[in-house]
Amino acid sequence: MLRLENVRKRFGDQEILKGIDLVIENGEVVVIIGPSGSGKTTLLRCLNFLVRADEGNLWIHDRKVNLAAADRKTILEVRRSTAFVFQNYNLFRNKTVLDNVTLGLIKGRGTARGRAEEIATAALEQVGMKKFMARYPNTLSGGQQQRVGIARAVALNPDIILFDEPTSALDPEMVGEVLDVMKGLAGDGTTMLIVTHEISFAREAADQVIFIDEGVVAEKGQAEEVLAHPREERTKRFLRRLLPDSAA
Amino acid sequence: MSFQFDFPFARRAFAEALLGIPVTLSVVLAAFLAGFPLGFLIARCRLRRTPVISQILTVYVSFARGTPVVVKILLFYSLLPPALEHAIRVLGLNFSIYDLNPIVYAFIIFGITSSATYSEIWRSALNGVDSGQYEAAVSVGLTPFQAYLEVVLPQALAIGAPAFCSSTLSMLKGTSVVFLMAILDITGRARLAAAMGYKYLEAYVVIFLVYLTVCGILEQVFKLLEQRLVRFRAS
Amino acid sequence: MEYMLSVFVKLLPRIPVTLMLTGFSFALGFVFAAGIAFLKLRGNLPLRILAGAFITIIRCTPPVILFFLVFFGLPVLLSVFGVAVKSTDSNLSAVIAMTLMASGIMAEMLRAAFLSVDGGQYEAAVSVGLTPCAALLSVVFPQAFFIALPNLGNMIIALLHESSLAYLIGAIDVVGRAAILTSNSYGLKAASIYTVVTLIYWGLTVLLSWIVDVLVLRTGRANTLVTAGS
Repeated sequence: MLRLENVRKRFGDQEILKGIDLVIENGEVVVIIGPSGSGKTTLLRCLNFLVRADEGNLWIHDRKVNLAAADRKTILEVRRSTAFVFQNYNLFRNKTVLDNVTLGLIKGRGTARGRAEEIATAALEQVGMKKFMARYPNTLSGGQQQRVGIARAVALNPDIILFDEPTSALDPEMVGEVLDVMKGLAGDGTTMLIVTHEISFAREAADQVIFIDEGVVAEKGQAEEVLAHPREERTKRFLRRLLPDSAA
Repeated sequence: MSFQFDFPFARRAFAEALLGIPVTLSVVLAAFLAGFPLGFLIARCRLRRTPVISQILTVYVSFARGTPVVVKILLFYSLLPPALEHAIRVLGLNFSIYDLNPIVYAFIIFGITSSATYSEIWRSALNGVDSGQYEAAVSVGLTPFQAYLEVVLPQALAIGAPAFCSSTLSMLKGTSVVFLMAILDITGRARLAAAMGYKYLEAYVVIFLVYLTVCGILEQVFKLLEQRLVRFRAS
Repeated sequence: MEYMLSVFVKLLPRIPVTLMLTGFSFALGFVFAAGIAFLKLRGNLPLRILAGAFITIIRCTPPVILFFLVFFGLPVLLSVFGVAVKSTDSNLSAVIAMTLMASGIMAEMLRAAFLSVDGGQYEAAVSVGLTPCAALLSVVFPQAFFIALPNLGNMIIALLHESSLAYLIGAIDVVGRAAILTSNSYGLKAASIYTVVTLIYWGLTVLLSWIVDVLVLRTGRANTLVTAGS
């Protein structure tokens, strides 16, 4: 359903992405792992044009999009069929929780307010944040904010939800509540592309795991295969560092 | 030689000065209406570093903020009328620039000054909005324009509110020199009343009290405005 | 135009007057501001109210009005104390008026800067054995000063601009001399004269701003070096 081909990006004289290819099927949960600076976040941000790739093609529902040369209309269309969950949540500070979720529906897609609020309420219910509807983000904890961020993404009913290290900025005790919400989404058949360090989550919920190192796809495959029986040496080394007591 | 404070005159001067309040406020209002949006556009241009335009604007802002108000008044009041008169003659229009109400010059001068001061405040306020807010807004599918309108601007306003308010109050005080252009604002009216009997001290005491009151009221209004705008800001 | 150059030459000797008015009121204003800030922070209730009232009054008074009030009011005030004056010295009145303005505005700046110095600084200082007085002088005040520096820089530029009003009460500074020159000419000649005045003030402002920016940068760097330990 979604295919990336030869994505390249350089910042100054540093080439961050050196030609990434990947394929995501409908309903698949794909987890990207890799060391810091490997380009994982940049890849995600290229997908919804928060960063402009230098080269590369995106196929979304058999429609080809040139990541480097896409025009404003195309960018808007891609953004309206994807949703992004940020590491720092980025909830709209000047809007209530409910308005945070409805903004994209009302202004981005022209949904009527009543219908938008219905959808939003259902999404908030799904992440367990319905009773915080009228609150402002500055009164919520990190985990609560991120759950609202996920509701905001879910409410848009996108073709795919992109997660950029969704739990990295959270205090340890809140990581679980967010991961639980994500597992629920995975179980419902949502197509998800997740950049994360949470290997246990990948083991439980991922269909495909992609290991990116130094701007290239070092290894990819079915989750159980890559995580339990990695083929590449650097994959093994990375996993060993992350999970010192793993058998790899 | 003892000095007697002329209270009856002071009362008359006070009434005169009050009549000047609408004029003073109109200058502040005009300057605000022009300078507030202009300041935003200037700030945005300078932040994005549009080639050529942002350099010109930097010089513009430096000029507007680098020259005292009274000097600008002296300059414009001596420069604009003859220059505009010349332009009118060239265009073949049929009126005399000297029939123009001098308050227009005040609008221009304070409009220019306020656009520059407000642009500095806008610059720091826009910078103060986390870039992630804009990113999230476009990620949910808003156009850049919508993102600015719904998310960035309201937050920038909240950040800049205290500075905008104090800047406007400063401008109110700054307009007290427009009497130099024969404009009948608070100062102008009271001075006119005082000129006959050379009762300047009483006049200035009265002017002082009127400004104190107007300022005091506006300060309270601004404080309420600020409180409403910053409701959602994290401490 | 050569005319403008001749005007500039005539105005040049007046620049020191402008600078003197600015400098004196800044220095005096700073001292008074420190005192008022102290009263507002540590004084008993009546003193605090008085200080607060002074600050509010100054903040609500247009500078030009202050100039006139001092100019016309000083003889009256002095006569109350039995001192008879025939006329007020313009420069003196200007400095007094500008000092009043500066002290009111800077008092708030100093107070805010003082309050924003981390309380832990004072605590650490007295814990290593400094007297409260020494702790304030060696540790807190210097930091407060650096925090206030950008605002103080703005203040001195504001004072420079304010001094341009002094000619209205008779001071012969740059604007004053220019006003005399224009009384003998009109129309575009006056415009040229005032253009020179504008350029002088613009130039002085740019120069002063640059000096302030350099000062802030250099002391700011020292500040961050100290705090960036780990």
